[in-house]
Amino acid sequence: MEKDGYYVARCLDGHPDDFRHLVRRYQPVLLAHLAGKLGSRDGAEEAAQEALVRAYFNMSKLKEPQKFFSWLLGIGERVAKEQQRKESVRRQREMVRASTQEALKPELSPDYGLEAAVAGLPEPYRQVILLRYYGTLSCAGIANQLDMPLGTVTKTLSRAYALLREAMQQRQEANEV
Amino acid sequence: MNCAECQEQLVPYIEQLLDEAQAEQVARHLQECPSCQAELEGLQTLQARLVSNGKAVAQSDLEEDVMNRIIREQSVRLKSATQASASLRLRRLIMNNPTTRVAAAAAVIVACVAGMMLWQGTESIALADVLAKVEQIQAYMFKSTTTMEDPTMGTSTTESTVLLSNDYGMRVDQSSVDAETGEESQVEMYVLPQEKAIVMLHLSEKQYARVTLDDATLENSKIENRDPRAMLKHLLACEYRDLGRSVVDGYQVQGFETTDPKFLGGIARNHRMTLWVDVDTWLPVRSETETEVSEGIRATGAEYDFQWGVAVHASQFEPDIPDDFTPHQMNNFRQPSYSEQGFIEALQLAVEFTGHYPDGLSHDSLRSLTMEITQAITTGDSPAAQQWREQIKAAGSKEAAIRMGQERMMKLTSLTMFNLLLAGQQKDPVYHGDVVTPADVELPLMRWKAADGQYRVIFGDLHAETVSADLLAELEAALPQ
Repeated sequence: MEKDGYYVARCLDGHPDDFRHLVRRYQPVLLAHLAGKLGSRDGAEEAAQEALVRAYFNMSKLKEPQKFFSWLLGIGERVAKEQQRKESVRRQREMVRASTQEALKPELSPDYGLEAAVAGLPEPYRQVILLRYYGTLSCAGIANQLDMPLGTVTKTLSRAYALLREAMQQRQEANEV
Repeated sequence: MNCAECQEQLVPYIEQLLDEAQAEQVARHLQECPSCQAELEGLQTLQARLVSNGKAVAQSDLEEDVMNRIIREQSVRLKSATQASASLRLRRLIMNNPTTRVAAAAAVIVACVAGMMLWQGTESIALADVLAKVEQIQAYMFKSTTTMEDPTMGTSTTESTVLLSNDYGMRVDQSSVDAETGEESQVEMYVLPQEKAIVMLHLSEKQYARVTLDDATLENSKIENRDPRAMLKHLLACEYRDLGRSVVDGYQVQGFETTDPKFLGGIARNHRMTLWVDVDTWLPVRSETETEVSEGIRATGAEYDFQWGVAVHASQFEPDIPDDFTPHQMNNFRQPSYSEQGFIEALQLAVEFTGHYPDGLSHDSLRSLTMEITQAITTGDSPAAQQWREQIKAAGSKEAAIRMGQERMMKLTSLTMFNLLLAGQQKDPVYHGDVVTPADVELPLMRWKAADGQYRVIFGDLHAETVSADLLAELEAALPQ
């Protein structure tokens, strides 16, 4: 499997079709990340698509091609913020139109609690969880991708699990109150 | 094995990364310890939830949609890119060059001075007083925001704080944000007239560059910066409109507006500058500019928060380059000469590759010129083009080749810059590249005022002479219509 930097260079050399490999590699990770931010699967799909297209057209600005993944997540986050802004404007308008306090919220993902907890993780825990479960990399694969010793990957994962369980616990308690 | 050791090994255990003996130890502890067993189950539940969520997410397939959108957008972008690419290349060259960026910053100062002179049109304001006032100001500061829109390079916004001192030079603290990627870059720039240099620190990239200025350019910029009167007179030649009184940023102001293309020396397609001046102090409060540089490329900007007469200290103008900064590719770059010599060299470069002179000296003319030269370099069979290709091959590294190309292409900026400098000094420059060819030994290609009744003339074969106004009139009468 080629590293990200290889495909980035191919795209810049005028082989747009090689962008497919990067889309395939990162779409689930990006989607999971955005679903947690945006709360809805549809919104996440739309944002992920937009982020990937923007990444493609801005590839020449990527200073370190091997950091494609974290760069892509950054673009994704920016798109998500824009979408949230648009969404809140839309909801406000709807509220005014319907003159009710309860605006229609988009349908939440089935496991929104988990997705939100993942999106709320600080780096590098979030990256490791995203790559392990949504990028379906093994621990050794993550070590290779992030240039991290294997021991650090398992330690980071272990801390990430603890943080996730804590976050979901808190969420549940908040919902019960 | 105790509980702490066991819990530390749980993730490697689940991931099957332990060797047999280690795994055996963990398993044994788990059988004996209900709390560690519970911890393991908790982890497995979470893992299962992550795995199933991962599978659910993986069902969405964006690949075809993304690829289709890319192909569609690319063909749209390509259309405008073929029109704009040469100009982009030039713009990149300009934007990568500290001096030309400084020229952009200098335009801001011109704008302020321009504003002052615009008052001459109103009876209520005495220009002499304003000039006297401005000349007394030793140092001042302001903020500026510029947004650059470009169909292929996207939109970016730059915020700067500019500090100017008659004694020490200029310092600009600048941060830019790319609208699409959100990427931010920060630059500190110092213009140091005493050292004949510009120093730039790229803070985000941890790079620095020191650029040496050419004597003639420095001399010219001194004239530009130290004699506002010359600029006032020049700018007075522009047509403007009085917008009357109003309140801006909390000040009682009077507004002025000019859309005269002469204001930018005719480089841009369209330009509008609005200036608001404090009616009590007669100093600028805010200025706004809107420029259509060429097809689809637009710049809008504002200057505000002016502080006239600030206290400055030499140390504010001393760049401090941290030890871990590395040289930027522009380091030790030689700024092209914005002088008669530099202008002639740029014309030579144009002729070597295209066989003719550019039609005009506007941004649009330069754009087609760069496009033609780029075309010639890649596919042309002129000796100059072949030589260039060989030199690029011999450069040794990609960086060296880029640097060499940049240094040469940068020469072309002399065409506009020299003309702008002359116009700024009221030297009445006129360019005839649309009708004069390299074979026209007797025809004036470019001319400007040298002294009273004397003109400097560059002829079609690129030799230069100083002639009387009468002779110039004869020479110009011989130009084809």
